[in-house]
Amino acid sequence: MSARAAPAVEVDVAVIGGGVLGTAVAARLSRTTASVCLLEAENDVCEGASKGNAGVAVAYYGPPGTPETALINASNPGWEDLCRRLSVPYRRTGAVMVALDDDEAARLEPTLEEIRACGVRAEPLAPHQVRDLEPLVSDRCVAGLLMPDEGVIDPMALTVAYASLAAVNGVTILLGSRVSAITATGDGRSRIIAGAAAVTARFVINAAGVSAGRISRLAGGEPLDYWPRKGQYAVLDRAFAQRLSHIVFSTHTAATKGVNVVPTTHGSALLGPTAADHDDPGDTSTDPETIESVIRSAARLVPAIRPEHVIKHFAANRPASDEQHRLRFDARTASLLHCTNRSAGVSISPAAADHVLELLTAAGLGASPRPGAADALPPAPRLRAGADPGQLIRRDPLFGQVVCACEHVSAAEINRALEGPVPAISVDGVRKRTGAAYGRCQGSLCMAGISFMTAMHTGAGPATVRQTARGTVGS
Amino acid sequence: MTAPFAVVGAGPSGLGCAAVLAAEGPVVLIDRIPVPGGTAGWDGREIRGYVTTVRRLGARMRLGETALRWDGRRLLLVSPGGAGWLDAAGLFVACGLRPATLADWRVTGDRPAGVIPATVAEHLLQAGVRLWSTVVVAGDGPWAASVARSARRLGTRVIAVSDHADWADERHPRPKQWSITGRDRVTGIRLEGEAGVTELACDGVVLAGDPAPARNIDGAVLPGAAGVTFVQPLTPLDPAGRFDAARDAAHRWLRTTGKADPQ
Repeated sequence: MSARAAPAVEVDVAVIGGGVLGTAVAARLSRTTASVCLLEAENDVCEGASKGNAGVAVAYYGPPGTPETALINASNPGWEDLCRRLSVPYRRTGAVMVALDDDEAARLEPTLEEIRACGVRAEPLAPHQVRDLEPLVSDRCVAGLLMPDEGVIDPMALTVAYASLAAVNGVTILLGSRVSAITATGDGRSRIIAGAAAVTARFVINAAGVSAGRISRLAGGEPLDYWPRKGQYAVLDRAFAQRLSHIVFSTHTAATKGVNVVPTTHGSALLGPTAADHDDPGDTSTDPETIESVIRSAARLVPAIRPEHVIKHFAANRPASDEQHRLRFDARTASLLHCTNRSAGVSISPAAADHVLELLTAAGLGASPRPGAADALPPAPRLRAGADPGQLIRRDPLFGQVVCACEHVSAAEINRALEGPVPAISVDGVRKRTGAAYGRCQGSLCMAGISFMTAMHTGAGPATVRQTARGTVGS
Repeated sequence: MTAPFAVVGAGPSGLGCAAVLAAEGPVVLIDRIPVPGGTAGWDGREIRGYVTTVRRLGARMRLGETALRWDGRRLLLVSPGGAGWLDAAGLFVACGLRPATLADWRVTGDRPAGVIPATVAEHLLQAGVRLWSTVVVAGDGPWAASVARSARRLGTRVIAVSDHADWADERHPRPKQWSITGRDRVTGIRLEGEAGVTELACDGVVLAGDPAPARNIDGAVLPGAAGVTFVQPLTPLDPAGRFDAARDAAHRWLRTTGKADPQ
């Protein structure tokens, strides 16, 4: 799967970007007769915005009447089925939106109208109803909304699962393959230089997230402006966060959707995000003032939240652009199809992938459903989710070998991450796929074990084993 | 039949706890590692003596089993051999200490590779491989000196961020605020203290400070968990001191809470 092993590839479709949209498109196309190659600049999939988001599969994002809203509506009812097929953690938790004063209560009314105009269910709630549903919400709550179709998903597991399905169905995945040139060949195809590989494709999908402007420029497409919008998050210990059952949204203002409290599929909760535009896509740093403000804003909604419940901070950049959602062919380069979204990439991904196939079909891709293509992955049971660990352990004793003590991730799950169709090559890659080392001790007890398992699978030594997709433990 | 006391962690604290409780009723001592002793090791004279004492008092050992969940009266245990619930009259958590995390210390900045907990550094250094040319060892925990010693033996320059380390090539006092710099791998650490800002260049950071209790049994993490006694004092750190402190804690528990209700 390394770039060196694949010097020249000829495909119908080259997908640039191994985030949630790129992998979703690759997975969808992999079930057709089209030949597909996925190019990712980093050494693993899910390294950009798809790694650092709140993990909400939204039902409502607004405004009504947009193509984006149509894709969210088309995607939302299918999450249970899709996540069962791909073995991705998902829970339709529902959400409560909370107003803490009269101003906020006044803003709930237009929000309710907009949600309904989007074709999404929502009900006004009296304060006691909000607190019946979510007892930890502030007693200053004066009104609320119930949004029953919202849900939480593991966005990293989803992205890896899309990529894995694509790989199982024969998609060539080239990691560590940053696109440096795209040229038109004489016969209307595009020749892409990515790392050491050269890929010739009839169609190019630009799913490069915050780098989408650069890809468009390289391909001779429209001048598109993308810039990083940094969001900072704090993660709450699941010993506390398990007391939450719904997503708790703050009241939207015209400018921002605000800091939310989002239970995760791991049982922890995410506080965030913030939104700060800047100009350095490689900058995912946190700062103390912003993290403190995130915790303070979250504690306004749920006063029981305390700084000592926070087990981790992180930041990620989402791809901001003048068009929040861009899913269309380029106006200049006919074979270039843009596929980017600022904030709702996870939430639109199933329907966006279907739509990409429709657009390519209309443009003459000429692909048909491929008989025998997989539309599911083998089940990936997790020790911590199991009602009956004994059954798992009888099947594979390594499910009883707990490596990550905080998150209860077993050696069987870690081996699976290291041996899957798109295998983890780093400690962080194992974390993304299993949740290991994501708990309150942040790897103090398990990172050595995970390093050794990763080193064994990748042939690295103690100093050269990768901690992240980009860097090794030692230097 | 009386349900046993469940003691999780067979290090000095767990052994001290078991030594007292076993005189009052049945005890099951559990550890995820297949030998007793915990981080103190299994083959020291003291530990061997504690193990003999505890066994003689009739405590059962279930080693190589991990406790996952406590529901107030039962403990879920798993191992490669299977899974099962253990009825227990009370749970004593003696799972030891772990170093402070970045979040515990409110460290912000980048999150590059090369920043690792001291417990992990100890394991990696055992391979005898030089991991860094200059490492910052942050904190005064029980791991700091040993990590620094191993690293220096392998030719690594060690900078301590600590108020009283004597094991480093260079020392800086604990800051009010710190942040990590580096995109792919760590390139430095920035300390903001009363004396101003200090930027230290390094290619490794080891988190080796402010021991915190390691807690990972669901239902037995937060203070006040029903039926749970935490036996994880932050001091003392030597095995004999921990054994004695745990015995005192168990005696105290027996005096105040009384014996377990017979079932």
